[in-house]
Amino acid sequence: MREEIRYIAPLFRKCFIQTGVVLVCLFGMQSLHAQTNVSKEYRIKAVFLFNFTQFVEWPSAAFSGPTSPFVIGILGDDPFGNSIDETIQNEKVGSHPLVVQRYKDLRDLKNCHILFLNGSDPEKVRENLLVINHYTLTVSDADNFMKSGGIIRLITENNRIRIQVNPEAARTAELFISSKLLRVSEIFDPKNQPK
Amino acid sequence: MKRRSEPLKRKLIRVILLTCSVVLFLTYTSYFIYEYFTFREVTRTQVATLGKIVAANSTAALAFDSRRDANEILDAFKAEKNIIAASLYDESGSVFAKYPAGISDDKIPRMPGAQGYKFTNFHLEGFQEVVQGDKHLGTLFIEFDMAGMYARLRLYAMIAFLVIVLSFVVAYFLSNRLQKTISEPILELAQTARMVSDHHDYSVRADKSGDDEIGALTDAFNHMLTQIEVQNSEIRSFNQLLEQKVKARTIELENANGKLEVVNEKLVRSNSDLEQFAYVASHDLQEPLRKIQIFTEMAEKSVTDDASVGYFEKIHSSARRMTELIKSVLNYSRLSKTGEQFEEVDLNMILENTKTDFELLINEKKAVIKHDTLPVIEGIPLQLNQLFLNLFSNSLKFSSSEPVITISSRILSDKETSDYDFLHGAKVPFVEIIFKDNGIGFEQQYADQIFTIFQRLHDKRSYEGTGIGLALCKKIVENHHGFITAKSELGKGAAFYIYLPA
Repeated sequence: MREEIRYIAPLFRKCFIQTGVVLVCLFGMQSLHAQTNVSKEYRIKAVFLFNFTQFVEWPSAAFSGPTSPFVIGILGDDPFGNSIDETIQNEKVGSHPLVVQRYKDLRDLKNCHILFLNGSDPEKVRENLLVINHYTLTVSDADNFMKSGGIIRLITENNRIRIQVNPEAARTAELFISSKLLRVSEIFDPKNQPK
Repeated sequence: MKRRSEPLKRKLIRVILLTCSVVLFLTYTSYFIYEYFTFREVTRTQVATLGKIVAANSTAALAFDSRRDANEILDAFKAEKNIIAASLYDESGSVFAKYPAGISDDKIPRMPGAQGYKFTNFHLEGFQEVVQGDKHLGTLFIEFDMAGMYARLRLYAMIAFLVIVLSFVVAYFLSNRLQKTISEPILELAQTARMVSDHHDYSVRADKSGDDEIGALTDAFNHMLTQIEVQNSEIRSFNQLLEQKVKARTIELENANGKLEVVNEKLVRSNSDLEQFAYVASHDLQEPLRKIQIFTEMAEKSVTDDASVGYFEKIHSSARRMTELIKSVLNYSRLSKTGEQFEEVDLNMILENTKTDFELLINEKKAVIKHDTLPVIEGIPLQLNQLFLNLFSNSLKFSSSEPVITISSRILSDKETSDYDFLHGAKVPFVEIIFKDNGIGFEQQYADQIFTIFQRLHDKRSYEGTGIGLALCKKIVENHHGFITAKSELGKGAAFYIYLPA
């Protein structure tokens, strides 16, 4: 019977050793039209945004009170439509109710916990990132987002969405990213990047 | 029944082996039951733990739609070969990942079920919810094959069975050897007991083997044998003593018998001598007496004076009396040497003769004679005649006035015959004849005396008689193998009971 007990240890080890983080994602059998393609992709991205709340820890200093809202902000044009609102409806992060705030440009920006930056202009993204506070998980699907100092980038590739994470940037923002999230993500290391 | 006659040795071995195997069997059975349930419970706990761990690890894969990661996580089940199937369902309940990768869909449930594990023939399967924080992300299914575990239990059972068999064999040899300490002293004791009962030899003794209960039994047995031996010798010596005593007594008796015979012989001889003498004497006395009577009569005629006539008269009457006496004695002695033949005698005829003989006296005394019809018996006519004469004479003689004589007879029943002691349980039927009178009677205490010769209860003056009559009666009845007895009360008459074989 000792044998039965023994198998647990290697299983643990195996789970944690695995750090190759590539997400293979097949979106059913449906072919994706241009119009629906966008909304479907962003519908998934909206769920991802919500799921980040489960795998990232915010320090209590990020909230003004125990029941103050958890804010998901969208900077620039809103690509999610109301899918993000549907996803977070009636959901909470701990004791904090979830709210979505949309900012037309940087001037409107307020304190938020997750900020999705929409935009493909690398210079603008870099500028935006400079003004963003601590405790904000920055997410974008812009190509140069990681190089500009973003924390999580969503990469769409062959109908799959991959996650790229910069742990260093997260640590700077005083956010703790769960190893589980890291497992399914690609780690971005700015030092190893080709110039 | 068969078991009871089984030798002690086999009984002991059987008891030991039975105890041994029952104990082993119970031990192993309880061990097995414990093992079986513990095993199941431990397995369930482990599988549940494993499920929780894998579920916790697969949260991110489900949350971020990473099938590759999910498959990798499930692939870890390879480490536990008893997990034959596993699958991960997403939030909507459709299959997200499977283990092993190539398993067909019908081997796993299409939809996730309720949280928890259950045993279904040789499998343990169940569902574990995948939750991150309080967010439900999906469900994990695990199927665990118990066959391996059961195979091991079977192996245990086989080993246990072999151990029991081996223990049985070892116990048999051990008990075969060890039972001797108990059975051998008992067998020896039994052997001794058998020797005692077979050969009746109480001098053997059983060997004592120890101070246990068997030792005590041996002691008791030996003690018993000693006692039996002592008692036997006592009985034997007592028997010898008894035999000697019996022998001595027998000799004494024989001596006494011899003496008695001699005395008897002498008595018989002297008796017959006496009777001979009586016969001779009375016979010879008749002659001179007749001469005395004849010459007295002649002298009487020549005497004239009154005084002398008176004297002669007295001489005459004395001589007559003497003649009667001599006749009676002669009769008595004649009866003693009877050689007469028995013949049929009608007692009624005898009675009629007697009445005729006493006719004068009966008339003179105004006597009344009452009688039944008497039977015909085997007897000697002259003697029976004499018997009736004597009894009649007796009754008439000892009566004051107007005597009434009643003669009755009947045949005794078998029961009465055997009831009367004096008939000595005779087999032949008896006749009872009763002579009853209303005379002077006598006291009952003299009932035996009256049958003795020359025995008279009354003085000669009041009643005349020779004192031989009733003695003659007795003699006659005895000659007829009968019995005579009398009952009376003074002044109230007498009854003579005569019993004669019919």
